Amino acid sequence: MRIALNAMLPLIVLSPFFLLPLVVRLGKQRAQWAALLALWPAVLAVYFGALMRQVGQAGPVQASLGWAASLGLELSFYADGLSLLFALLISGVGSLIVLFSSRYFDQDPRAGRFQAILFAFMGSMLGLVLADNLLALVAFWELTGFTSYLLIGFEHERAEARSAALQALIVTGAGGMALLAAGVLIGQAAGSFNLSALLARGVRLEDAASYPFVAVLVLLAAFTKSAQTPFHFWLPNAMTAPTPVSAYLHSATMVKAGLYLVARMTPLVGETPLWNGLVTAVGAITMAIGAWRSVAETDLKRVLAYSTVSALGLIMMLLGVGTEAAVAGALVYLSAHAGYKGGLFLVAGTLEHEVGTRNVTELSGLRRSMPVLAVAGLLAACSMAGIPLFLGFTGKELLYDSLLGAGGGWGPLLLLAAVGASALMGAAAFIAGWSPFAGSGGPAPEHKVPAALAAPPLIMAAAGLAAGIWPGAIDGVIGLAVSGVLGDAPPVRLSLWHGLTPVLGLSLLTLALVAVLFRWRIGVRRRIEPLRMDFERGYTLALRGLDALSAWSLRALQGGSLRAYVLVLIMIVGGLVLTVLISQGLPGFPDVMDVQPQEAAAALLIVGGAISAARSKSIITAVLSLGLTGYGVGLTFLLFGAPDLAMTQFSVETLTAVIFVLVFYHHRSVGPMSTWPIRLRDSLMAVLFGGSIAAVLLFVGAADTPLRLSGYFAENALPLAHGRNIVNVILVDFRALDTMGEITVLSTAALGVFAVLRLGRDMKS
Amino acid sequence: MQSADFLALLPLIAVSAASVSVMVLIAFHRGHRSAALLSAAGLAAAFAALWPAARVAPRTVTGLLTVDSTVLFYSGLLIAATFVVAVLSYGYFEKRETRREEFYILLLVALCGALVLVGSRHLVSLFLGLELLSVPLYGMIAYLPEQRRSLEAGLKYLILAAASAAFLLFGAGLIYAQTGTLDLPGLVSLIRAAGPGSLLLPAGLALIIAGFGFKLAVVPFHLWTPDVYQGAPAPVAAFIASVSKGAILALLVRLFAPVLEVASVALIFTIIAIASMTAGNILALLQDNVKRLLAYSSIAHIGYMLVGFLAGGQMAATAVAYYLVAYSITVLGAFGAIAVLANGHGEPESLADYRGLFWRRPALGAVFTFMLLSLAGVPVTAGFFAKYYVLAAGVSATVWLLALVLVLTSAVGAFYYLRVLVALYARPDGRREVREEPPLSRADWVLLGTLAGLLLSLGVFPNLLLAVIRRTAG
Repeated sequence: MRIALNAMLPLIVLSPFFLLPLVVRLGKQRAQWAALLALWPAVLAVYFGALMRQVGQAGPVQASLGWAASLGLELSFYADGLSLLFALLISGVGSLIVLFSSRYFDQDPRAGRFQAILFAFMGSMLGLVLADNLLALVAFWELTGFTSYLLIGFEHERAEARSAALQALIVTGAGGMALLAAGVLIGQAAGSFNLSALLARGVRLEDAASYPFVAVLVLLAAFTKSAQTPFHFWLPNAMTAPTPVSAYLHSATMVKAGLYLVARMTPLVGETPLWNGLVTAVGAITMAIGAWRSVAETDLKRVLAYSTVSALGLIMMLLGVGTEAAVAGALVYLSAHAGYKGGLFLVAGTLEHEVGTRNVTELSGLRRSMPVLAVAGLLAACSMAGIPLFLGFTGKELLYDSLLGAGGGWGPLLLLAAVGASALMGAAAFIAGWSPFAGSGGPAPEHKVPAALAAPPLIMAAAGLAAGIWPGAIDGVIGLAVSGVLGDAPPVRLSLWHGLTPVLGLSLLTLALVAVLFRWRIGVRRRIEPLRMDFERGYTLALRGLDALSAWSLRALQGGSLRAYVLVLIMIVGGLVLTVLISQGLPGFPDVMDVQPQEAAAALLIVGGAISAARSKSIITAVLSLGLTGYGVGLTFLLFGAPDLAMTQFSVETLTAVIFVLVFYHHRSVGPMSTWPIRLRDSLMAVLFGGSIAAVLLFVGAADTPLRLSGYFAENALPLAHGRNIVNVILVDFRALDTMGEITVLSTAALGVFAVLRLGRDMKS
Repeated sequence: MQSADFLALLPLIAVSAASVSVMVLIAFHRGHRSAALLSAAGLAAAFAALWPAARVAPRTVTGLLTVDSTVLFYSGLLIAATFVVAVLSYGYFEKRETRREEFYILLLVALCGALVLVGSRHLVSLFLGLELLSVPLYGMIAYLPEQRRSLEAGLKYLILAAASAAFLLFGAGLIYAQTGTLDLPGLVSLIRAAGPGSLLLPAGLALIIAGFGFKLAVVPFHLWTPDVYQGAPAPVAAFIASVSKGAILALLVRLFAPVLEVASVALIFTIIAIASMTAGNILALLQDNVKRLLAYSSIAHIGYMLVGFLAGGQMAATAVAYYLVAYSITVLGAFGAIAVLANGHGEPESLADYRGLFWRRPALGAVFTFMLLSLAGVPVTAGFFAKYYVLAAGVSATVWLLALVLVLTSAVGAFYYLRVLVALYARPDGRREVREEPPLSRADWVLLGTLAGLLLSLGVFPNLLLAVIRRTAG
């Protein structure tokens, strides 16, 4: 049994991907059939539960598939208490979400696609929390980002859905890049990419030179994914997603990935002042800002989104505090949050589905027409507010307890912030979970809420009550998860009643504050609503800045004008050559004054031709002037003893000039010339470029001229080839193969000409 | 030359023979199908000839060319890529009213140039290969004379390529004047041993780098790229992106890696790599023209490959080889999708032409999606491993700055690929008239399907390719 569970791990993690074809088919059917899909995540949850038992007895398990081992990439999976806690949440909540969606998207043609993306997301998420290899973790991290992009933007006809999806992807994707860099750095510093090996060896990167980079990069990834300030703006915007998506991604799974990362990395890179300080501070600020905004919103889902931001900050802060009590508190809070927040999102979604609005100010008195949903909302709100008997209460007790115990001057401040945030969140809980059902009046739904919509939120909310009353059910799981973060920790004992402690007093104070805030919620909202900080500004500015930079550089560098291109090319090459000249310190110029008159004449011809070509206003003159330059070059060849080259040069120049004149016969004028500043610039560039090349050339004369081949032929023609005519010997003996090649080229060219001639004849006929 | 030499050159000979045969064929019998079939057969024969050549490798032929396993690996890549281009071209030109047969001669001759370039061990063969590759490209880029942009692109490429070839030649002359040798391995070890020394050698090296830089289209020698990619027929753009650049890069990695030990050369390449990654990605951000977008993205990708080149060492050679294969597959697929969507009047260029493509042509949309994801380096595509591997090479060589720029700029890069993706999946808004999209031939389907399959299988099982690279080019 034990071996079987281990070996199945990779297949189980990847199973949502394997099932995709089936999911598309089944998801398209009527709701009662599509609901069957919920069975598979439920099976997964049972499996992870069983594996958890085994891990509790025999320690973490690891299983791998040979994948890209030679790349240092192995598709191996590692399951310890921490990752299994997340896996349980992912599969358990996932099952309920799939059930809910089957009804939510009933008779929607997109249902199959939706369920498929949801399954793909689930698989990526499971891969993320169970991946052993750091780089595989990164890969799954990016996959969750990509699938969540598809899910948030599912209603892509709406522009705001598209932009919100893109925003979430950009923010979390940038974090993923940071994580990739961190992963590579860790692998480099520690010599392995495998978490199992690193954790087993107890590697700590604290002393590595790259440590500050690693810590900051990992935290950047975690903060962006878990919507920490100042990156939290994407989460409220992502509320344009269909409700099941918000309930799944934005309460239970994706936003928790950052928390998982921080917890997972704590043994490797954590427990240093830098790490703990950053995590605690960012978490606390996020908690405060999120709680503050949550009571200011009127859209149910935005209320929930900001309270999620707050809760994520709170958990992050606890992970930063890092004591055993704090980590246990973080994990209990995280589990409680997954239950009640998922439930509340589903309640909000059902309300919108049935009544058509999610505006809190328009919803009231719905408890009569939707009793089951009202119960679910109330239960979830109670857990979120931390009413005794609920798991949320247990979590909050641990929160206060660990902050009271935490030393340092910041302890009281953190405690104050935690109490304030909890009170605000409690108020938000009842605003979202109870105010739509309380009171009287308000809209009436068209029909009864179907069971498949009401049951999942009820189950989630009730789970919070059950776990609160009977904490013994989960303390084994939490204990195992804590030891995944802190190494071997003493077993965690959760209980409902701690006696009359200061913590209890704080809890009661919080509840009193919640009552006050909820009673006067409308006034509070009015006061808070105008006080907003625009965190999105940075994002918008960064994107705009990039766009502006792109537009500017396009205009500046890529005008499409060939002249500009040539100018840039010449400037750069000239600059390179000049740099070389200058960096060599301009060694004494060789003697250049020893010039014969005929050489000077050739030089004059070349320079004169070039100047005349540049200045002439008719194409024909320009072509002929260029021809003069060419003849000058030919003359130079002649003067320095290469008559064959000179002859070639002369004939090529003549032929070119003739062809050019024929082509341009009908296009004599050049058109408008450029203005004098441009001409000045161009001529400066030309002189500089020509000057630097000429300067380099002066040194060529000084270098030793290596051997020549002609001597070899003269000496060996008779002894080796038995021929007195050197030219003949070269052609038919020394270079016989070349000659054969030349003949082939000639005949091939003749064939080409033949083909072209035939083409002309065909066109005439 | 001995018979083993001919055996070693068999792939090159097969390609040359194919080009001559196509010319003979069209001299007597003009037919698009027969010309394309003959070219494809020649390319297949050349690919098959790699194995007999491998039997006599490693071998130096006439002092000008090297034939060893690395050269043969890259030759195989170039031949296969050209084969894809040939098939794409057939479908593409079949829809056009133009003389089509000569195109295949140009294509095969350009491949000859690329093969010579990859195998060259002498500045003369290097230059010969480069020109043999460039000159047919002038014609290929401007192959649609009725299109202004095509002609304009051809002219721009002609002038700039000629200028850069002149630089390269001049640089070679300076180096010869200083050292008296044109033999590349000898030159490389000379430079490595003695440093750049006095004036002529560094000046020559700078000019040669400029010449290479132009062909690779790296910043600041990249200016021609977007105009040429936009103006050239899509299969030709695919050829430039995969074969023309691939040949130069392969040569760089194969021969010139030791020169990087000279600090100033490494500095120049570092600047080029950083500038290319940054400028390529930033310039692509606002592009609404998909072909120009791919042009800028190719600048960035060459920058990434240069990171691998600069990292040096065994891992770097493997990383660059892997990247080159992955990138070739991807860019052939991307331009392939554009080519098959071209009709008698032109190609779909603006982003609006792709709006809702997925809903009109799900399979084609999916293929294009895979290509874009691979360009962005998303997991489960070959592009992910390629990028990862280059990054890992950079990190293990501790070229931190390069690695950092790579990560940052590819984050920017993901953004514009995403914009194309979003367009692919947007619902057609009905306001705009959808351009006419021709049906796909069976050959197109098989080709694009194979490319997508390769992309995914390399993304899931990178070892398939790595094993080959390790045995040959690694």
